[in-house]
Amino acid sequence: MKSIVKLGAVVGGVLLLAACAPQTRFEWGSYQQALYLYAQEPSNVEAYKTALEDAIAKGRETNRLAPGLQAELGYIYLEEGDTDRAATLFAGEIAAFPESATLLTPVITRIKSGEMPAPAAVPTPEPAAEDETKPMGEA
Amino acid sequence: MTVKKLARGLKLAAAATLALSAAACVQPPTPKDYSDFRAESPRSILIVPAINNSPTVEAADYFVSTVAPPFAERGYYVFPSYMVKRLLEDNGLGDPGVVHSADARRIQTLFGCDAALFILIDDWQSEYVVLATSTKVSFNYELRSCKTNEVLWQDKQAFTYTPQTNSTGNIFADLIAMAIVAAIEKAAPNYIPLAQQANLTAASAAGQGLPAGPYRPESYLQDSGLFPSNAGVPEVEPPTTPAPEAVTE
Repeated sequence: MKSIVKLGAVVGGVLLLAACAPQTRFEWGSYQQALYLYAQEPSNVEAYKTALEDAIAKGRETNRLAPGLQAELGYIYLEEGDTDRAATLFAGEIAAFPESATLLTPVITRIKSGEMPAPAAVPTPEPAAEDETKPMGEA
Repeated sequence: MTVKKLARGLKLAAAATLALSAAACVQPPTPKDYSDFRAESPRSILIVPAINNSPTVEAADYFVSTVAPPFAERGYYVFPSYMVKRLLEDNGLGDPGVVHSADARRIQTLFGCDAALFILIDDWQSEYVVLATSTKVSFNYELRSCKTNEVLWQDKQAFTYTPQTNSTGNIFADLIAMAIVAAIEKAAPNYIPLAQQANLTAASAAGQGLPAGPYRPESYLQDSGLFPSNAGVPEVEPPTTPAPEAVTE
């Protein structure tokens, strides 16, 4: 009797897990925790970058690369002036998720043409000759 | 403890777990009408920075980390939400109120999104009431088409958390313990798990959340049973005999 009841408890527990276990479609790693800290305090940027890099690498391995992560990381690199890495990541995002092309293709075009979309905080390597470049295309 | 007593305890535990599992996965009775959503079948969702109507100033900054995964997990391309926030700020659109009042078709020209999700943070606060701190979050969700600006889906979620202390049998000790727990919750309220729970429920509750998107190919366009069009109206069988007026020529 006792063992049956015990089994009941175990089965109940397993059911509970099976019924509600989160089966994630995508690999998020510690994206949420790292963004939480970064959004509060910009000096947490390195931890945020590491979290994104890990989640992207693991996502690629398991074929569960999450939407948006490459773009998020690319934008951080863009802000830091690392335009090559930014362009590579944006291209990777478009390859994995064509839905992002309208947003990211103009950004890549500007990076490639040397006309880097410069967010306010980042010093542009070349002096802005023409009118101010806008980070977002009007495509 | 006798064997009998132990067995009864375990039985209770089993019942409690089953009750919990049922409660955790209980399905809401009336599914929403998904005809507008189905007519568009969006592939991508742009999460617009939330409007904070709560008394907690930093709520929106905390909230942003919790919102993309649950909606992406339904099988949609969700735009990089923090990058979107920064891009809008860099373009003089840092005030979410301005973006929320804009026509979603204008957002489409910038981002190429199929749908845009507008979220209001209605509540995000921790209140101390008689030795207990209760932390509350409440959100309003509206998904609009980036092609027509029509509302495709709406939802509302509210979650409350009040920490509990175990009774020691000594009323004074209990009161002190309660006060300490309440003070801790007040100092560092547990908003994030509540916000995660709210977003997950909003995005994925059967008959209430979002139908599976294209990145869930196993159920994409095959879950009309869970997310029906014309909710409440029973499926009408096509008449077996042709209607009299349907005469050709």
